[in-house]
Amino acid sequence: MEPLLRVEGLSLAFGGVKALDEISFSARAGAITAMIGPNGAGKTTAINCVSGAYRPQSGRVFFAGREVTGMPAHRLARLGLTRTFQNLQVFGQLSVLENVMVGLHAVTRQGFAAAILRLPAMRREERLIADQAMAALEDLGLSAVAHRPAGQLSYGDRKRLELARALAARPKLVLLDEPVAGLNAAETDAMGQALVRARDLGVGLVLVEHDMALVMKISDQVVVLSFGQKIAQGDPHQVQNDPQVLATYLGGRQEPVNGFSPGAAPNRAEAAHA
Amino acid sequence: MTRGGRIFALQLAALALAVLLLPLLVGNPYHLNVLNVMALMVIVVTGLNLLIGFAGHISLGHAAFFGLGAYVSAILSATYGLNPWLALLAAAAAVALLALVIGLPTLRLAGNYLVMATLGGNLIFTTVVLQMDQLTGGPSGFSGIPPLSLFGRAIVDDQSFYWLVWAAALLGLVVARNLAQSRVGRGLRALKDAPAAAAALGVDVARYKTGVFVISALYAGLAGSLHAHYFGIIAPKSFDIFVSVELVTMCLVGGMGSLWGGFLGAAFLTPLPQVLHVFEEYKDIFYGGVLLALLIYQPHGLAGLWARLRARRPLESA
Repeated sequence: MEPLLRVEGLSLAFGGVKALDEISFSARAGAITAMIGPNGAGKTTAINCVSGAYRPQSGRVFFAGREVTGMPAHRLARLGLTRTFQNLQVFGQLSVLENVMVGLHAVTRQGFAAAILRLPAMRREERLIADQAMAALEDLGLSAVAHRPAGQLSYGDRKRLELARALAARPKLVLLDEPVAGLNAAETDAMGQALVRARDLGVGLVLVEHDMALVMKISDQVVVLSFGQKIAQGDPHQVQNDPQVLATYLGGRQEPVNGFSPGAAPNRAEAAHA
Repeated sequence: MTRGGRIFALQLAALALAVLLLPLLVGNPYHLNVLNVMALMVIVVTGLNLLIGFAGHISLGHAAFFGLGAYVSAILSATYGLNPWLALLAAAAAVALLALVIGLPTLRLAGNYLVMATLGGNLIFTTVVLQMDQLTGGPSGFSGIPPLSLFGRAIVDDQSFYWLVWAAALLGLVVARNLAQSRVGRGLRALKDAPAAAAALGVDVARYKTGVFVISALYAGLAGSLHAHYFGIIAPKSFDIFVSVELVTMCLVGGMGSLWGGFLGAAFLTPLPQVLHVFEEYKDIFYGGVLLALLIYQPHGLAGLWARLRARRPLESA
């Protein structure tokens, strides 16, 4: 069966630096595909190429049965592909509820004329948007702060808000750029559960993450990048025992390590795993 | 109705009531004339504020849209004998087209190129009006513009134009508010905060920015047409770059991006030069000074000051 997302030979260089060198991978619906690798491996660049933020210099991206290489982000969103950001991108001036309501933009229609004339169809759609957005907030336990300005939320709540906003429109695929970076153990655990719930509803998730404990716990497939190249791919167990991965992460030690945590903050990762 | 919706309805009703009662207090036709000019400015600045508040872009060419509306209306109705209402519609179409021509290439780019394009556009507009004197009357202006008429009555006197222009201004506020409280308005506010995230959620950033720019220009163009048919005479000086700066100043004084900011700024600054005659000569310096002082001491304008005072009150009473 054709996977939901298929990336073929993606390459992008910044000046002389090859950020991505012939990267190929795929992601299925209803599965979590994690992309890991040391800092500067090209993980975020890969996400940016798939999500329409960057245009790859060569290579092709297929999504839901059609080629989408270089397609602008807003059109990808309408096809059911959205993303979250490593440096939080909540709409600080909007309320928490309004943030999620923007999340439903891709699946709603009312335009300028309907807005200005405040047509009945537009008001109906507005109520529908508000209801669905509220449901998405409840899923992530944010309904109590729905009417607060999003800029006032704590860091952890903003992370959850980004996920709620991305999931509100029931997308086919969500690209997540470090969803648990900076979260404490309890928040990381809750976020992991939310991701698993979304997966079980059939959403495909591509996860860039340094928290190895989380990655190994929830991923169905792991893709390992290093210096712009894919060095391994497989289920968590295979990847943890791959000699090249171990060499990259642990500097040449060959024995497999169970639940190893070479990410940015090993202590946090172990705590989350426990 | 939401709480915000009720507050807006109350504020609008209060303004409508003031509009209804004010002519009873104002006996002097000159003062009525000032109120009429104020309403024209409320329309233009409310439109400009949509652009600043939603797209986060500043236009330094809104006087040119105001002027294009005025000249197209004037030329079509006076020179070619078109019905003034049809001339007004044609002028609106011309303004929308010009806004598209300026907005389409510049609003796709990430930087704030619109401000340069509109500034250049305004300078070109003034030059064209001055040079094409066969058509526009050149530096001495264009006169003999027929008035609009409603129910067979020509709207020539200050009193009847007062009703028309303030009705238009109130309508302009309702339209701005409708736009703000909609899917499109939300998309616009979102793209101003975090454009990449808005795009990832399906907001067509370039299209929305261009759309709000065109609407914003239409406010100015319609006010320009009303202006031309009301005064019967127009001159290029009313539409030059300094007027554009005045309009931006009104936005800043009133409160950038606030729904009532356009109204407050225009209502406060339009009569000021008339009241303080000393400033007439130094108007541009005065506006420049106000602009500087505001940006430093009160960046959110009168609307921001009002919001701060309201927020402070419960603390003081506690």
